[in-house]
Amino acid sequence: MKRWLLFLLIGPCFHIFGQEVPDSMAMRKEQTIVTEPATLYKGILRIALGTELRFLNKRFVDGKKQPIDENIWGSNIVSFVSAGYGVTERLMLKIVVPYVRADYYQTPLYLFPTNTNQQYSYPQRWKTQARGIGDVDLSAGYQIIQENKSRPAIVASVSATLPTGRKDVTDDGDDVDHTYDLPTGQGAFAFETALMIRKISYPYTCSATVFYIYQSEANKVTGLGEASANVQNGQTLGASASLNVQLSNWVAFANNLDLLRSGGQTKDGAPAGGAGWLLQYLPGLSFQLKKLRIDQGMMIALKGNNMDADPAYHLLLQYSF
Amino acid sequence: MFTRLLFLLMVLPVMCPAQKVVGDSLLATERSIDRPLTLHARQLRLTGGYVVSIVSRRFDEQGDVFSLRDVGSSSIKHRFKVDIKYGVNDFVQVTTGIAGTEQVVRGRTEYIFPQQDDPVVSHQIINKYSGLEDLFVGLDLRAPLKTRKFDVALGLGAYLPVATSEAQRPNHSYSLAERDGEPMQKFIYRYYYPQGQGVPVAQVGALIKYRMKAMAFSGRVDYQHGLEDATPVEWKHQFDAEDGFEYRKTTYTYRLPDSFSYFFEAEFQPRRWLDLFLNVSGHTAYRGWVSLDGDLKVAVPYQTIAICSPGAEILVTPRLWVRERLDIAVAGKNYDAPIAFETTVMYNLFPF
Repeated sequence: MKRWLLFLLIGPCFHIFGQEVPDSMAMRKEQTIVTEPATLYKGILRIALGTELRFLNKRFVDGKKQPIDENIWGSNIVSFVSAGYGVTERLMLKIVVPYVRADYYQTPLYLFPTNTNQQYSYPQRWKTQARGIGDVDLSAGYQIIQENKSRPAIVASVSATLPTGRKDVTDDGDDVDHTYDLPTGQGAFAFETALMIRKISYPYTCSATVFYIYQSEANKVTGLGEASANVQNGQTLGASASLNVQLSNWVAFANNLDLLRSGGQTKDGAPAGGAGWLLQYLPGLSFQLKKLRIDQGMMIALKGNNMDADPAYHLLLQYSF
Repeated sequence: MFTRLLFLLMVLPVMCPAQKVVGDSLLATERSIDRPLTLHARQLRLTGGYVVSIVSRRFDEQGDVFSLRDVGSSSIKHRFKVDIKYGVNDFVQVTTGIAGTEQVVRGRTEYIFPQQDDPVVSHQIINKYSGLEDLFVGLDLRAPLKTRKFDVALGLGAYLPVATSEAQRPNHSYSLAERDGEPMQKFIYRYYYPQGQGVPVAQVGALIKYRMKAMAFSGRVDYQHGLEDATPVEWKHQFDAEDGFEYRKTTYTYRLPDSFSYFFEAEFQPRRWLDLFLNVSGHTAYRGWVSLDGDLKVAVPYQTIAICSPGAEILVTPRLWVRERLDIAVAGKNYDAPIAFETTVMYNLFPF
């Protein structure tokens, strides 16, 4: 009797939550970040509009969050359109086209002595900005092992960042040396390889990823009036772990923890910037309204060195066709 | 008096007919716009919120807005808050809450060029406002009206000075740096400001809600008054080329300004799981003063701010709600004019 009662209580849970492979295409398009597979289902096209709002206010210096010297303050908004497509049940392709809008301000005050024991005050406000298409990402993900009840999914992915954004610092046409147009891209190719292991255990999904980003050298102008130089950004090695929780049929709570280390930048072969590392946490909410998904979250820099320490806000709208 | 209050607190839950419908079924069937001004009997609500504010504008004393980016004082403000509410019965609610803030505000960097051939001197001031705020305890009393349309309540509360109110010692620094290939004497002044007021603050207010079929309008007005004069500390410093910075602290007297805070909110609930709202809130502070020297009192400038906040509440489950809003400062005087994103998560339960 007790066994039957236990079966009646537990059985429906498996019946409801054991929908690992939805039958219809419509159901496949309505899966949440917890229930969907590691790559897109075959034949599904997912278009996304996203934005990331980030501020330049503090950096990790000597392991502590410090305001940036010289009173520089800025905002950086990267909006993007992306399209992902499930070529097979295991293989998906994706393209991301970003648009960069950044504004940086510097406001020093110069005080000069005069003959009358007074000071002549000379306030300055310099603004530099970036506007335009950034570097485009192309990526492919392949499920080496597809997930089932007893084993997790293992996904290998590769991506290439193309130098489609403007790479040089350029004069904005006025007479002030400190105001100019910033680049919207790095001017270099970047290649990323990642390996992810992921398991759904409803109402949870957890994953762990390791990745490596190789950046090529770029010949570009990094300062107004300077000659172009060969600049190479540091290579990045990182790992991330995520735990997503399904709160209701259509709302999920996402948690992501990233740890990454970037090597120092070189300019014409000489070191031009120190290596850095960063530990950041990204909590977020994901709302699945039929085929529409709204993701939002806040990236919070926890610890690090030689890295930006400000939070970033993410908003992403996705629709599956 | 206390015995009578205790009697009311204990007897009202028993008398209240709403006790027949309790727990999750109540939350599952209740729309956001139908919620009473106080919690249901024995309902416990845990609320956690995070606000990130972009402080890049400020209202001056005439109410004109100016850009803080132009004077080098833009900043980001983070604020976390937690509160716990409990419905003693359908008409009495107790609240306790606490918040924490972190904000670093920089002043414009000054470069002073001496007459002689001495190095340029640079000055930068960094003010850090951080720490826990004072603990709020409150009691809301709802009128037992026999109509669905109107709801009225009285709010009583106090901020208890449990948070640190004494400023930490500054941590100034001096270094010989280089700028454009020339030597420069670099001074950075770092001041720390805690968020505790140091004195108890009493609060009294009124709440009202008017409901229509698919909409509701609510409002709240609170008056706050500091019950004592505070005696914060001010740090002074002097620089010695050999010993570095030396500090000493002095105290002064400060009268916390009296303040009014208010909000009005219009809610529309198009779906069972979605509540849209437009909130207008504000804060006005006046009659504060600072006395640095004996009987000389210097008035704290009159401050006021009005904020318009569109937003939405998502009823994830009957127990779990997520509220998000965008705060836009629309008018004010002597006040920062931030744009803020606020996310609040509320969890409801009937534990007893």
